[in-house]
Amino acid sequence: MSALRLVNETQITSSVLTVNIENVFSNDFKVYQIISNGINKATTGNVNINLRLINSSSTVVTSNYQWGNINLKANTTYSNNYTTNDTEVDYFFGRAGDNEGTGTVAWIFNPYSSSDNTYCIFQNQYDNNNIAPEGTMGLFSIMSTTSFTGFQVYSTSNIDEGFIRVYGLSE
Amino acid sequence: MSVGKLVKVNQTIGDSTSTTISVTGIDSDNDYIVVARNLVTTYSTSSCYARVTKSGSQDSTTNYTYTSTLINTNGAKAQVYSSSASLLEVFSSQNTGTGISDCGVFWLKKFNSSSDYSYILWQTIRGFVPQTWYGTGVHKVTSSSDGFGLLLNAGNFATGSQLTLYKVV
Repeated sequence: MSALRLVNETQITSSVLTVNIENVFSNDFKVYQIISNGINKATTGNVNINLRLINSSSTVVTSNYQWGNINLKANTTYSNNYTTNDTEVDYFFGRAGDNEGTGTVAWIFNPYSSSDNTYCIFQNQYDNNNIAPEGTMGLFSIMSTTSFTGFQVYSTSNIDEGFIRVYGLSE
Repeated sequence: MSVGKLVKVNQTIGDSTSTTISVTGIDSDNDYIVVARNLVTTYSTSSCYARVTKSGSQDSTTNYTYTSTLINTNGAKAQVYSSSASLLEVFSSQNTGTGISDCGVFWLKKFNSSSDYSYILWQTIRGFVPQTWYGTGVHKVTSSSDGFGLLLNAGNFATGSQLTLYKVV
């Protein structure tokens, strides 16, 4: 049996702004892997696909995200993005266009713990609205000991395809 | 980086008595990963580095070549590199505090080979003023490495600091 245990698989099959993936973090695991693939914008143009955490009261948390990344671009120099206090984690699931899709691999540490901060490292790739391939490598943290039970896929424009899998890592 | 099926091989948990922490058990030609979690130092500020192990001991010879890039949530970024180092820079200075720890994932390739170098790819997070380091390094010695370890330049690894070794199958 693999030490990586599938906890949840969510398919996006309709046009939505947000997808809540709840009750995936628990005391069963301290480390999780999140994998997404094929998240697609419902209409033309492109949009950031972001992440917000959901706490144990099922409230979507919209403050105190610290994140940073380097965004590598095939057609120009890289960009460096960061913040110490945001309402979400930008680019976590990439930047989706219509009929393109994005992919992310992330490792999240201590999300359910009420005594440790939550930390996450992630990498993703996407085609920036058919301009050129891009990839992001980054991190985020919430510097508090809040216990989180899930997360939200968050966009400002509808997404209509893709899947997200969450694995727990047995220690 | 995604991985396939993982099989837990070994785990080491710090007990506040040592400036190093290592996990061993590499004995096949598979890729391996090490997951580091809850790394905390007993000293207020220290730096953390990585090494391969040979026969259970961290190799401190100057045979490491690496590059590592830092991304900080406060905007700082940097690159470090060396072609003849005695260790790998995988974290920057650590600080202690409530809820703060360091963590990361290390991908190990060709460690069991006695005719190839040992290769490492990593992405880590330092918890205090969160920042990530991602990098790649090579231990340029053609002998088997049986594990992976971290070391501090000050203080010890606090109780609960842990490294877990998985085989990728």
